[in-house]
Amino acid sequence: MDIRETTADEFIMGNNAAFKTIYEATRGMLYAVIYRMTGNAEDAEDLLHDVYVRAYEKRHQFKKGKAALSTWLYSIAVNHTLNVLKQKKRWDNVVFDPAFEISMLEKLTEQDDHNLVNTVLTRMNPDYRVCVILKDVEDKPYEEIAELLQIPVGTVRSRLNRGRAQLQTLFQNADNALSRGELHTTKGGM
Amino acid sequence: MDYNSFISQLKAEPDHPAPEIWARINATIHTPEPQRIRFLDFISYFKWIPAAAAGAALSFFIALSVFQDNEKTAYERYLNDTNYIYLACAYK
Repeated sequence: MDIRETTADEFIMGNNAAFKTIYEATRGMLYAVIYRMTGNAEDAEDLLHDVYVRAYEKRHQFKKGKAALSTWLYSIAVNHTLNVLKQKKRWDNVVFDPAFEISMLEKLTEQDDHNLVNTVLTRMNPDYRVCVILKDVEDKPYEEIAELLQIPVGTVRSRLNRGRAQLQTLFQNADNALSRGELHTTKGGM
Repeated sequence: MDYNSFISQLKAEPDHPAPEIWARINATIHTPEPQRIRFLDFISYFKWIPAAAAGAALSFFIALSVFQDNEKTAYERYLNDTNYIYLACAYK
């Protein structure tokens, strides 16, 4: 995404018009990645607000020669969202939590794909989730993901593999349960 | 749903953020710093109180133990002295 160098300079000087130009140019990209990571529009809007406020406060730390302004904003968005998701700690036992599997099976039978995606996302380990989203959804190269998250490339690869395996197991378990007709039995037991 | 359709669902472009987000950002950045309530700053300021209290308590107990050691030594010296006097008296 191209942001003119003069606009970036004016933003660093604290010019509000330049900041709004940058906001208009980057909000879609940042909102998309935050929304994909959170799976929730309200949380994504709150986080987007925090990201731009943080970027404005830390604008003097932006080094022009190192990366583009849009890349710098993107890294703030990804890391801030990841930190917030880690604080929530609601993702554990994604594969083996019976209550989660029931809610997933309900979404599968209702053919409600959008809610199913959000249900799955909100229960995934954020470290795996961010790697799956950046690689498989945003199509970022391994090196860029490693630089964004400030972790080694090998760690990105292992987290991505674990995330993919976790999701595949999850969907396979749900399909098996559906084919065995366990949904009604489980729901009856509730 | 399988993994590939899950990724396809995620790839679908979400709607843009609500227009009032910019107004919120603008209001926040133009609010003077002291007026903003920063809970974490508040907590981080007060976290020094237990640390200072623990430090003061540790210093107090160290000073007390040194003082008690000195006292004990003086008392022992007194006991020794009196014992020597008793021994001297008994010897005589």
